[in-house]
Amino acid sequence: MSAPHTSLVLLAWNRWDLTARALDSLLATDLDGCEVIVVDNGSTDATPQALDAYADRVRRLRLDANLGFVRGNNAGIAAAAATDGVVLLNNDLVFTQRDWLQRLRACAEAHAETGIVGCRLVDAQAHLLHAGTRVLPDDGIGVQTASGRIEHDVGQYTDADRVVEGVVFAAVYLKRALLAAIGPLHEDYVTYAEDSDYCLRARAAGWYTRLCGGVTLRHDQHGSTGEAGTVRAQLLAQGRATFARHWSATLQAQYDVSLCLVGALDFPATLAAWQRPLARALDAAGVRLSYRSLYAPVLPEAIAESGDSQDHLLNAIRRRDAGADAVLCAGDAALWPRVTAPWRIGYADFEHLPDGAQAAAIRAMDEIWTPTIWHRDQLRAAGLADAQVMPWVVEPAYAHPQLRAMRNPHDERVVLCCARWDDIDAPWLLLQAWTQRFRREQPLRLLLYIDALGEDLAAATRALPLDPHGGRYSLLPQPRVAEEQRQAVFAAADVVICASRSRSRCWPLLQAVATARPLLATARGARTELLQRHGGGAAPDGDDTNVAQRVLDALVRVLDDLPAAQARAQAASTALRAEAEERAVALSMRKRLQQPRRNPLRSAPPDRSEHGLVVLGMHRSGTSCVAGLLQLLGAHAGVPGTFLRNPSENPRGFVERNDLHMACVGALRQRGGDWSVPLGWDESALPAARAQLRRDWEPIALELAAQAPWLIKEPRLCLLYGELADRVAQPVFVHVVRAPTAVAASVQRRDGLTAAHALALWEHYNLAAAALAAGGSAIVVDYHALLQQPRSQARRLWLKLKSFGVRGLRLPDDEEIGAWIGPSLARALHAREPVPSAAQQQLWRALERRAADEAVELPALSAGSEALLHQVGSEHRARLLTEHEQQQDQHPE
Amino acid sequence: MNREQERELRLAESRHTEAELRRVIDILLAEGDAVFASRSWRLGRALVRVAEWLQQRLGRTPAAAQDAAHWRRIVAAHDDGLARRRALLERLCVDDAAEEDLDAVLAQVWREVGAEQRNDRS
Repeated sequence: MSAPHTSLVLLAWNRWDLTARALDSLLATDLDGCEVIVVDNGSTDATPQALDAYADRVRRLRLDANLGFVRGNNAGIAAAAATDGVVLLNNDLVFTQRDWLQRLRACAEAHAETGIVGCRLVDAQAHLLHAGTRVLPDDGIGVQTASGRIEHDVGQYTDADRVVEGVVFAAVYLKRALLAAIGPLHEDYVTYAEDSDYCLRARAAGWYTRLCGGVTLRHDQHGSTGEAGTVRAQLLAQGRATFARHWSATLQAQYDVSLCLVGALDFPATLAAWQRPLARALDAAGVRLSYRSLYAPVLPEAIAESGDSQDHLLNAIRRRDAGADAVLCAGDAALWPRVTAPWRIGYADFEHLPDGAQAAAIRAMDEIWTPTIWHRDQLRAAGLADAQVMPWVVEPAYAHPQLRAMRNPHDERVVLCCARWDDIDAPWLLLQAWTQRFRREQPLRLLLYIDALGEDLAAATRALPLDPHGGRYSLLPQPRVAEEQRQAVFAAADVVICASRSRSRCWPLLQAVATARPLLATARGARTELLQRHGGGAAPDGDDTNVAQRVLDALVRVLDDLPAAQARAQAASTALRAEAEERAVALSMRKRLQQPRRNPLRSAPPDRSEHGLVVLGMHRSGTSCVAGLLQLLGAHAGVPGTFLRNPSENPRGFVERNDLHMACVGALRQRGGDWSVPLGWDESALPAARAQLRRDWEPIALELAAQAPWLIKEPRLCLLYGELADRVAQPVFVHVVRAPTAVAASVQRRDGLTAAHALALWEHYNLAAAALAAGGSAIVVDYHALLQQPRSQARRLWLKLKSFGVRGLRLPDDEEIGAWIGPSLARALHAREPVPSAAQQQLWRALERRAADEAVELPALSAGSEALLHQVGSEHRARLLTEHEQQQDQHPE
Repeated sequence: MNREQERELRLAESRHTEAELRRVIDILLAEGDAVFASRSWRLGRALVRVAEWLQQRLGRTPAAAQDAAHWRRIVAAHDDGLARRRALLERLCVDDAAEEDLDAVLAQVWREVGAEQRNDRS
């Protein structure tokens, strides 16, 4: 009898139920020319006896005691008679694929230099457990998926066989020649980490490890040690310690160049979508990458990155010291001047040619990279920079034709459009064109996958004039899904269309091509280049009005012969995944980083004015929201962690300096007042209170001046700012107004004031704010308008501040604005009570007109409100006096 | 009454209004069916067909028939719109920070598609 070509070594230690299941499923697969060896690692349960029933189909190797995973497997390897290879198998596997072994062998034989072949492992709930391992030098912890998480199985890695750093030895094919060259598993290990060690040893000897994408086995992990968590933890720690001893220095030496990415790994998500795979690829390509958020200085704490990227490698990168000699700034160029480093590279991705602050920022960089030739040529033509093209990356393992998603089971073709609900993508125009172009009876459905950018889509779509007999459509606001599922939505589509007027938004186009979906998009800007290079149907460009119609015209032609379009899409996918593969791009970047650098530019200091933005307004009027928006615009609000906090009152934070708040509270208390007692103060206490407030202001002003333009927000400043006015060189007042009923209802609820008192305070605060702003640079912001139209109001605010000469601000992206002023704020109910007086209603109408940039006189404080507030003041002082006397009685000096 | 209670009350009120409107629409459709099935309507329709035939001979396209199916299609399309808006409102109330399973989200979309088709057939 000839020797088997493959020996399958199944290691078992107790848990006969698992071993029997594994054997039964294994023996039901194609095993021609193989031998199966069960190594009984000193089992004390039914295993020894039960194996008798399999004696005709398997060889049994009984060990007297449990020698551990390594020595048990080595015993099996020593007993293996195979000529070509040995497969090590755990007893907690289930073999669900009949030809799994043929595929593993084929993968090994297809590449002479491959010595080790592993496969995808999933659990019983179809989660992906393993697709190749990587051990990080930072912590010595090995990860088994790109994210280090147990991922949703969307078919990632199934498209091809890939070289990986390592694979787990729960199911692995080892070539006989490799075993002859480097021997069996290293017996320094007992269980755990021996597999990573073996793969690295193989690599050192010139052999590669591959993941066979065509094989997926079920692995109910930790079968043998399942119930002994402590033992497992000990074994794991022991394995890692041994591994670190052997390989720590080697892993550290894998990096030969360092780079700090100053960008967005989590927020804004549109940037994170391509920076995350790039970060992983750079690290894998030997670039020691560290990270800082470009947006951290301008994001209010409530929407700042949490620090947990849901990814082991990215989190490790976050923890690394950011002191690289080169930084790569990626994101809004207006923020680049805030980044300092010996060598500064900017990744310029723009919709329109940068001007103003962004153009200056690009000029001041030492080096510019662009994602496309179109971007490069735009910069070159404008004389801004001579850039290197570093294309956007796609992750072929996570974006390929075999990706899986839940498909429409109702006999309709699904046409997917990924779009943002903004003026550039204008998906509402596509929706209208769709219902005009197609009829309800046609088996065709538009799936609009919308990034709502904080808009209430239910409200936004209510007024759209759509033909009720027109084509069918479904609106799906993009849910927050795990990273591996983001591209999977393309697998639910038959065709992808893109009717955007953008010149640069290419992420959905790249994913559509990578997943081999016929793609139809308007050819303009960088998109033209992408469509020309990677296929996809280009609808002719023209004016902005008929974009959707032109794309739908092209769609009709594609639907006439969909199989042909699908075949073209397959070819385009193959080409794109080869060209824009993340590793190739990362290697280009690394090569560029290794090149000698010319003398760095002496970057000009950021162009910032000395202005201070003073946010005024009555309590509960939306001043925190506006202050957060100003911070997004780039005004310095203070150092994170030094803001006033009271999550029960305002979970998103007040964007209010604690020191200024305390100074204002103290200043009011000292004069016998309070935020709710703005009149009737103790005149004799005023000089001392004012002097104290000015002293408290000094250190605050010093800190702010270094970071201008700055902002302060504290509603009490409506009452107190006048005492500091001469200490602020260039104030710009932002007066936030909200309807009296809404404010009074909120104040009543929060503080238990009477309706009349709350309304009088609203009147007084707003008139005080208006008086402070009179004659100076000032803008009135209507909180209601801000919630209804956050983007246009943010733009108005930005333009107005620019017109006042404030420099150093930026216009945030729609995603940032949407995240800060989202529908959760707009959902707040409108109060119907209390009803304001006629004078207060008149004041509100005047404030609304001022918020619409009309010049209008404001009425004076109504006599009723003034009298009420004076009365409140005198009662408050009397109460304070009584309290003071009681304290004197209790604690006489 | 707190905000949640008030919101619940309003939702219940809108659900009730929707049910009432649905009932009125059903009555109107039934009335329409009765009219379209009546002898006088059929007689009128026969006369209109003659007029349509003449129009076609003159190269003109006659207007779409205002029959029962026409109105049912309009009602069905509006029902789809309502269902979509309801789904969007529900998604609006989803916790922004909570991660969802794409397949579960798509399954929900396809369930709504199935309901839409069933509604059309009924």
